Amino acid sequence: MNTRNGVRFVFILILTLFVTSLSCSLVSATSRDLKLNPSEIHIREFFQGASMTITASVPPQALYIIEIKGESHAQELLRKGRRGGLWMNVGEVKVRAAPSLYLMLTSETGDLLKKDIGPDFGYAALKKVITFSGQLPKNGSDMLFDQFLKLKENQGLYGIFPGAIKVKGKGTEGQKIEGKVDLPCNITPGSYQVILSVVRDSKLLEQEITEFTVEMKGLPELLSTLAFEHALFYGCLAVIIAIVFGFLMGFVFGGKGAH
Amino acid sequence: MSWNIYLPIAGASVNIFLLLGLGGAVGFLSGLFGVGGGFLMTPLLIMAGIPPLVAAASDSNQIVAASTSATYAHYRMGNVDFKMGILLLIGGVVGGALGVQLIHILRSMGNADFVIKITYVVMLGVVGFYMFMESLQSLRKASMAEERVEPSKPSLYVRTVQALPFQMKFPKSGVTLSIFLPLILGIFVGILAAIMGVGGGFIMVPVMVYMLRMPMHVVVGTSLFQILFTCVNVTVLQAVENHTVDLILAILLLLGSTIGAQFGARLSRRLKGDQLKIILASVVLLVMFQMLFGLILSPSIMLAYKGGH
Repeated sequence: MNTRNGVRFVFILILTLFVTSLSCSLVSATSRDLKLNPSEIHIREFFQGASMTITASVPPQALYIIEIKGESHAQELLRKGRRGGLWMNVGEVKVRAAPSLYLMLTSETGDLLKKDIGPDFGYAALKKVITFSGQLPKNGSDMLFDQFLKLKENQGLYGIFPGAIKVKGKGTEGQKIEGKVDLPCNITPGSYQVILSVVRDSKLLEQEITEFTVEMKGLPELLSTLAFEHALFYGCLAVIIAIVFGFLMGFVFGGKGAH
Repeated sequence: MSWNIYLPIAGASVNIFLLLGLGGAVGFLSGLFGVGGGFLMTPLLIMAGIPPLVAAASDSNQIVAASTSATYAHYRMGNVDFKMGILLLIGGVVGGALGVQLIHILRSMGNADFVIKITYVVMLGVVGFYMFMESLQSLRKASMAEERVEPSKPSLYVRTVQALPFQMKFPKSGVTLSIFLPLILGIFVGILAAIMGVGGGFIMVPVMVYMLRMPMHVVVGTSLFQILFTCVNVTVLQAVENHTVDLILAILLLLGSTIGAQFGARLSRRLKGDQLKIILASVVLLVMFQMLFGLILSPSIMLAYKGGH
């Protein structure tokens, strides 16, 4: 009986130790502390864009991807084409489900990146959700998607930055990563998502999401509120300021008139 | 220290001195020739990273300041024919409304952009070339020894104008015309301005010179007076309908343009009418060629944001 109890005790002890060690290893493989610095962006009078640092604790030996996404709004664009041998706008195109901002940072570069992330991240993932309607070209919307990316990249609103995530403090219990991104000055006020994905052997191990906001403060906030909520007053104010300035300069530079 | 400033409606950060400089240069041309300068300023602002709709609307706002400044300067020099200006303005408002309807029809037919671009190039080309050649001939004649001026028979155009009813004296311009003529020409310029999406100063100036036979200096002052009212209307409408007037952008531009307009107005007084015309013709032809190249060369990106001139 004693021997039986002893065997049972040892079995329970081993099982407890196994479960504890397994749960410990699982905890150490979970990404934590996804932090943004700064955690809020304020657009003030001399705003020129903002530099943001993103840090997190992550499990080792994996591919890390950070995506920064803005809210999606329908956009109306003009498509260019040839008429009578001349280049001009030939039709309106409505773009839906395109985020206002899409920046992707990764820890790896080149071929490894393409092979590992597949169609679930980056522009390939955007292509699956963005739709075009209106006066589309005869050869379909593939060309439009490429041109849309080009337009957004030119404005600094879309971008892919392979190798922009640096791995720091490697160790068996996990490690730290740090990514730096420059948010463009034409970023619109609103809510933005930062998504950290950990990929190992082409499989998504885990994902953590946090958010930050972009807000106008000071004079930009005041003028924006006036322009959108008191439009008639704002329009009249703009005209009065212009006329007063015009006359003021007329008096300052007036000199002697002909009459 | 960085000299960039954030423009809340445009959603862009732009160098302060760039905006002051652009305003100054275009204001100078405005004071010199009596044009609003929208056909120059808006493309330049778009190149500086301002969204097209905001560029066009804020430009209208700064033209209010530049044209106030320049109209006042020309008024002091006795160069504004208010009677003629008001008749042209009434015609311009009616023509603008007709032009907007015409654009709606063209858009529904799918040819609007083609018509706009071709109208732009043809109008700029015809106006620029005619004004350039005519001024060149006048300058050559003036430089030659005194010529015997023989009285010639009035042209068919002059006889037709003289035959129109409701003749009215315009002492400031030194002409007697039927009140229908400025009204009809105002409508014509209004339609073209609405189609092309500009204030119409660079069409109005040649119309006043060649069709209303007004002296060049009075043309400049009167054109500015008319542009002032057109742009007040456009600024308020753009602010209310589209929320596209950027006050900070407009203030920086108008700081430059009001000063530039004063220097332009002073220089215009020193230059002869034909000299003014030949410089304006050169600017108009330059813009025409720039636009023509834009139509011929393939664009780097096949998509663009809506709005702008």
